[in-house]
Amino acid sequence: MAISSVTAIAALFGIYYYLVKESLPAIRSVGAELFLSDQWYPVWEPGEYGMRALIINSLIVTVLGTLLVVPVAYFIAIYLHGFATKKEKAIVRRLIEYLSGIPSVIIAFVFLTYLSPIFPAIGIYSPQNLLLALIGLFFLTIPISTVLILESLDSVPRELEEASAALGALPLMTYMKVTTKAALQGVMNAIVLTANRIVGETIVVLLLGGGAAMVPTKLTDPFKTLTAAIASEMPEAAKFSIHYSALFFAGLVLVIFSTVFELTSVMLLRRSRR
Amino acid sequence: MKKVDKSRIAENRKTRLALRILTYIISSLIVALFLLAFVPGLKYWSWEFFTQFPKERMTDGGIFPAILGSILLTVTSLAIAIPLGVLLGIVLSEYNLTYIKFAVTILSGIPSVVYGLFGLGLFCITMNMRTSILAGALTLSLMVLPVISSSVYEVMQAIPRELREAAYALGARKSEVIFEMLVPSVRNTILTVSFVNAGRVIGETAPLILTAAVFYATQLPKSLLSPVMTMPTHIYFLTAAYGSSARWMAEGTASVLILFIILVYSIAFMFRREKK
Repeated sequence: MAISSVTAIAALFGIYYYLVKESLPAIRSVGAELFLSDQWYPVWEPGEYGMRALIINSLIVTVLGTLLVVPVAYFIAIYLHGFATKKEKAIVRRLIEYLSGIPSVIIAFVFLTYLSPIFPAIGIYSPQNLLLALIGLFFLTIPISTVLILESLDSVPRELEEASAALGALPLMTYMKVTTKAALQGVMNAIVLTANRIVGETIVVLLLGGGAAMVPTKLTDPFKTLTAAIASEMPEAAKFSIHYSALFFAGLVLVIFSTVFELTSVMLLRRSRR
Repeated sequence: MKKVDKSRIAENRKTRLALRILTYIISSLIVALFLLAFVPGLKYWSWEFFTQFPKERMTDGGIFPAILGSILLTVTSLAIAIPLGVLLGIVLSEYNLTYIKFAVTILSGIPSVVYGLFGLGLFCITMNMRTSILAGALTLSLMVLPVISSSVYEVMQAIPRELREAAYALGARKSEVIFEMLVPSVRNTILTVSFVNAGRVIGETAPLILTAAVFYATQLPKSLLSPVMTMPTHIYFLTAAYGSSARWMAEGTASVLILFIILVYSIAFMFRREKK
């Protein structure tokens, strides 16, 4: 019994400890530049390790991706919660569950093969770009956000909705104002977990993002995130080099983001249970 | 009064129609995505595709080593993660361990690529396992362990309190209550959770690029310390490094991978139905 609890605690502390330990050389030799500079040229001699653009890109893609997917997921969830027939609800849910099983590498591959070539054809210079990555992320996260929002809407007591209907509210009004309000913590939790999924997603942003370590100024610019930098550069980085250490630092930043998201989620759920 | 009612009914109909159209559009896009990922690769399925190594710079041959590698990695990592994860979920539910539950929640949100980074540093380099099945399997098992235990925790919590109290009232010890009453009653859910996570592990790419997978292996893995090819990393490398000459193989691999995932998920859902 104890062994499994120890594994969990050791894993959490171990991951934090290890990421901090391995990123110390980069922190020591690069210093505040890590956060302040946009110059990410790790293979130059001497290398430049400014991660600001990578961090900003991770945040941009998280915010835009969440803004894109959550409203759609919300209205699908409203439809499934209140308007759909039982059969429709079951079919759409099953479909969404299967979609959630498709690996991100396959989603990335499909969009790269079928959608990406359209961009040069309509005069956009980069076939892989922010827009394409956002479309990929949309399909990656629509299952989790829809299911979580739907579950929180479904958990609202029927009496509340009946009271609202008895007062003369139309169904949509009831679902959006009464049910959503009662399920607010659950809906916000869905948003936070969707954001966490996007900030940690690697392969979709790596294959569809185009990999330029600069902050995009428009939707059709290529970009690179912290996760994409780790997955694409680590296999080539020399062991224990500054580059290696800087990529661990990127991992540390990601873990801090995801810890903040998860803490928010825990707090939201705790409040909703009260 | 009647007039007002009619316009309200019409308005509600319009809302319903608009939301239905939205749902149907997204659902059909999902189906389209699914078909685009699965169907184009079907025409490459042949005996050779399943049994041979890639040949002639990925323009010929098959993906046997990648299929084998994916199976090996999935089985090994789940063999580690399921017992530990199920046990942890039970412990979390039956004993009051708020801090550990908290740690597990944080762990379950950590991005997979960070697990890859951790596995690379700890298993591959510090513990000198190099790029190997074992390093990859340990990394993946760490990654799914919190997810498995959270799911098991949830189902255990859903068992009514009265059942436990009744058992205690009959004089059962805690271990008897847990292993002879609670665990058998959630057995099918535990199986569902295991297979759903198998589906997740088999499609995982980023951690394997860092810890276990190579682009091309000239021979089959000899032991757990050999590097492997896997289906998802094969698709990734083909897409990232090769042009259109290898696209057929990526399509073929994608459809085989989806077949595996459909199988695993269908088994998972089968156990869930049986429960009902």
